Amino acid sequence: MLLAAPRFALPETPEEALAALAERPGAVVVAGGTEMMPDLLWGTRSADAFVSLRRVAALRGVTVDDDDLVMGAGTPVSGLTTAPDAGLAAAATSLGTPLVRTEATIGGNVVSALPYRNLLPTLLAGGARLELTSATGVRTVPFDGFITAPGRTRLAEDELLTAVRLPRHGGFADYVKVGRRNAQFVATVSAAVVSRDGGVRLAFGNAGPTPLRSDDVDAVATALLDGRATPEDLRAAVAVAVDPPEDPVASADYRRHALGVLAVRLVTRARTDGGPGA
Amino acid sequence: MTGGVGTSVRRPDGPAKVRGEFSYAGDLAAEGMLVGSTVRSPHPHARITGIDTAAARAISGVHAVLTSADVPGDLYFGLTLRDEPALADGVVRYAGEPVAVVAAVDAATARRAARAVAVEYEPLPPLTDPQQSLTAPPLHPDGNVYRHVSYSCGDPDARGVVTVENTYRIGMQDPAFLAPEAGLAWPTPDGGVALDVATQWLHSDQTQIGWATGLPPEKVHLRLAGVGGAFGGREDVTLQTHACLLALATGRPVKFEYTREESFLAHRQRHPGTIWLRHSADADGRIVCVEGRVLLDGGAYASTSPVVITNTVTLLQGPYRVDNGRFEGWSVRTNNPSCGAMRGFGVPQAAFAHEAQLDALAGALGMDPLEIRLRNALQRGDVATFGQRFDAPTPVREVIEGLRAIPLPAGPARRAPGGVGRAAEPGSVRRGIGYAVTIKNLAFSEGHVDESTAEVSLCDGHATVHTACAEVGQGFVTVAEQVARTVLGATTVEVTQPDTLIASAGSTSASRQTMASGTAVHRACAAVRVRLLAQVARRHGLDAAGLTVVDGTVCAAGRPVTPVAAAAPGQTLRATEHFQHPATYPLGSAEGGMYVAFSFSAQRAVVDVDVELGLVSVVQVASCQDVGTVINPTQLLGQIEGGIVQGMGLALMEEVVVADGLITNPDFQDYLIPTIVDAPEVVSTYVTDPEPGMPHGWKGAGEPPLCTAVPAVAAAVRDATGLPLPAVPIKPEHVALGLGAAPTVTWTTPRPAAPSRAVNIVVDEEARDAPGTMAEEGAPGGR
Ligand SMILES: Cc1cc2nc3c(=O)[nH]c(=O)nc-3n(C[C@H](O)[C@H](O)[C@H](O)COP(=O)(O)OP(=O)(O)OC[C@H]3O[C@@H](n4cnc5c(N)ncnc54)[C@H](O)[C@@H]3O)c2cc1C
Repeated sequence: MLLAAPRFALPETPEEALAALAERPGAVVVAGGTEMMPDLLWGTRSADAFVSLRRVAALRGVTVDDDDLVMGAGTPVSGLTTAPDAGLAAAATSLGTPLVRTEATIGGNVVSALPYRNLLPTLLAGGARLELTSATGVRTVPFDGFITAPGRTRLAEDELLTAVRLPRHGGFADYVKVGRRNAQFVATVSAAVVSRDGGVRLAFGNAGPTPLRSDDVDAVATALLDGRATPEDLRAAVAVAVDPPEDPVASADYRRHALGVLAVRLVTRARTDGGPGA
Repeated sequence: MTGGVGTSVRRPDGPAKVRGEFSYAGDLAAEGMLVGSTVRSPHPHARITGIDTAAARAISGVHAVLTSADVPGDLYFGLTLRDEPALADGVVRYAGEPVAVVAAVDAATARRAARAVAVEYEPLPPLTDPQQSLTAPPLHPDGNVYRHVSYSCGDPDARGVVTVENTYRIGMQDPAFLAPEAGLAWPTPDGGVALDVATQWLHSDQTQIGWATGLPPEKVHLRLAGVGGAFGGREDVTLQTHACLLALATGRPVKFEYTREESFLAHRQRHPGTIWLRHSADADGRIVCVEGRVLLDGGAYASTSPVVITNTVTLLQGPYRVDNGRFEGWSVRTNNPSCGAMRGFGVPQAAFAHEAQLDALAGALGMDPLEIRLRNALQRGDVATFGQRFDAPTPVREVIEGLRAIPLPAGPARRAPGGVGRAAEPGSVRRGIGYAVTIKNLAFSEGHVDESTAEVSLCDGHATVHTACAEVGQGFVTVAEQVARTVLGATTVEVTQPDTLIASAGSTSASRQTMASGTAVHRACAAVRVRLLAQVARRHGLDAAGLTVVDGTVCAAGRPVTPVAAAAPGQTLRATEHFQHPATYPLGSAEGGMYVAFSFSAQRAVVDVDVELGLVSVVQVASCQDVGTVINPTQLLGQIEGGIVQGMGLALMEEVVVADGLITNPDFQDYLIPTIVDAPEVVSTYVTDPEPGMPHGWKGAGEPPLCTAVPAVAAAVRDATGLPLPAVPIKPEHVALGLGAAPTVTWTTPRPAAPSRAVNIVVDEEARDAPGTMAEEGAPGGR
């Protein structure tokens, strides 16, 4: 381990990281720090010690196996902008600024667990799974259900998120995000789609306290793809499924409306660009 | 001449700023320096029932903790009314009001000490509705109304065939300069105090520091530190007094540097307001009568609220001839953040409203938006609603014609609405085109003395220019340099760091510094030139009256005599000159006009709107502005582009959201300003009709582009959507959900103005006494 100060550890392997975490009560994991540092500066979070993942090379990089795109949790967002998944790539490209994308990691985005974070709807729509590693081994859990409340996850205290697995598919995927300017904005709302084998899966950001999807919405979306439902049907289904916040940025009414618009547009894109089952 | 007036001289601080090497006020440091921190009220309105500083003082490394009881001089300060305590005086009136300040060995200790100051509050109900403020019990011994303005002209009951009326709302814009407030103060051997600070007006700070410290002005020494943007937000005192009080109390240098959040809490914002306007016009679109009522929320303390309201109310007429009208307005006290100067100073509010009205009139009459503006354009010789004659060039028609000559952008936008979010679909985007024309007063007004002083010295062709004019990015440094080259033939020019060793230059605001300090520099250069030419005449046995300076060379009858650099070897020629604009007078005065000068600006905005989602991308803004003369094409374009982007920010996204007196978005994640990806293409042309009485015919140029961009962008979004959009910033939901009331259009029986009624100005309320520094330096009133 490079640095083993009581309050700060700079481990080089996942095992060292887990050990460093175990040795330091009240320690937090820092990856890119683009979430953590502002929180510390604003005093919305404090920590007794830090375990940095910066040197843990094993957590960086994207590989492809038979079924999945496997992304190390420490992979910077800039490394995902050309990912072979159009939805993920779009979500990565529209995250923050070039500077932020260089530092920010996919692991940090997932564990931040905020409903408006970019990558989350794509992971939800794509049926991603997470590899959580502790001293006792690795468990793989679905991303759906991992986030339990804003900022809260099912990650245990002695666990690290080590990889994100996104199933590969030959279908159509996309991600869109709404905000008040052309770049560098928090999503007022966002949406992602994966359309494959004639079925559509939609997921929404900032549509409720956690990233959100619904079987009912997907059923109507699939019907719209087949021409069995109208855009109005889908908008109505979305309006029922979502529970968006009301805040100074936007009213809940606007968010509900915009989520419906995004859903229809994504399904329309899937139909024209992806083709059913493409 | 190379580097003279009319050329794009580069900023001397440009390379350092681009490389990140420029020293901003936040970079200040001194040996043995302490760091200051401010205890701020978390409540928008509360009585302070106790302050216990013992725990804070007991922390090791803490050198001083000051409350209002420790202010040796006069506790109260302010730019106009002196109603604000340097540290809270028993009551806090806005969230963020300074209650105590501490100085400690480092920032962490200072912050810890600030948290350890125990303040007991008895919260009081906050008054956050400016309408209620008019009738509510006073929040302050000075009352709730900063100023009430009311006047009429001609026959306000005159009517044409059509009347349009609506109520418009403007949100609170933050100056959002990038370098937060910072300064470093230290005690001086003369028993006084020195302060290096990022400010807009050194002498106003000096006066106000003098009040609190009890020091005479000659013992308060200010020097400008590197300023990272200002836009009006550094015109009021924030940390200046606190830093000096702590330096005097501790005998050590004390530095303050605000966090972003503190910056939002501490400085003044643009006044949010409500404006009701009723325009009546005849069938040709000629304006018959305008009636307007304005309510500006001034927040907790006066700042420049008594002055801003007059700008808004008097310029409701826009750049149009209005013979009949009735105008009234109030700026009032609430427990919201204090509002004050911001680029445009009350005019963007008026411009947004009057331009929406002109479009509504054009719509009702089926007229072209530019045609109705041309038909009503002010001309030289016309008399304003507030009684002043436009006796300088008034090129309203010319800026409109100039704008019309700029071709529309061809092809699609660089960015679809929503930008990197990629939500827009080609079929969902509609293009809109909007026009706006505005009038902006230049320089201080209503009797406030507008003056500056410059000292220029010349030695072997090297000129040194010294003024107290704060360079805040606007480019005075290049103006001064260019003047010294053109007038004096200097080979090299140094513009020294502004300080209080020379007389006041007034504030860097009101688009005034080229006109005031630039003219003082011009005069001082001319005076040095006289001395130089006298020497050359003597030396060469020539008649000084026949000598000129051309391109750095002294010439006699067009033939070179000697280079300026060699004209008086080793000698330093020096002159100090003062400039003051002709006097102005309060609204309603029979003695003369309120304003020094005006500038006119026309813009056309082209926007793409994703109507379903309410997302807007500004494709292009074309501008034609009345600038007198082009001194530095690049700097001028910088002012135009910056003003347009800041104006589109107000039109589309920038708003300090205040809920129950608390700012909900004091950071750049939630307070959005346009990024470079949002900035439109800007096409800028000029009308150059020289301003009489000004050297080189120059006039101010910094504020008009912002004033015009707000209504132009709003008009373009209206054009794209067909929605009335009576409020800025336009939120996506206003468009997507169609929120906002349309103007009421009424067809009326024409009623010509009663001929007997001439210009008749009634001012209901005079400015108060207890004046602050603006008045201290001149007559009461404003600018
Ligand atoms: C200017 C700016 C703009 C931004 N814009 C966007 C945006 O547009 N969209 C967006 O989604 N986000 C944005 N963010 C937020 C942030 O950049 C992202 O959420 C980023 O992905 C966080 O990753 P990180 O590695 O920096 O996280 P960190 O700050 O290092 O960590 C965040 C959280 O995750 C935990 N964590 C990190 N990695 C692991 C791991 N492997 N195992 C267990 N826990 C872990 C940390 O303990 C912490 O709680 C922005 C941030 C900034 C500063």
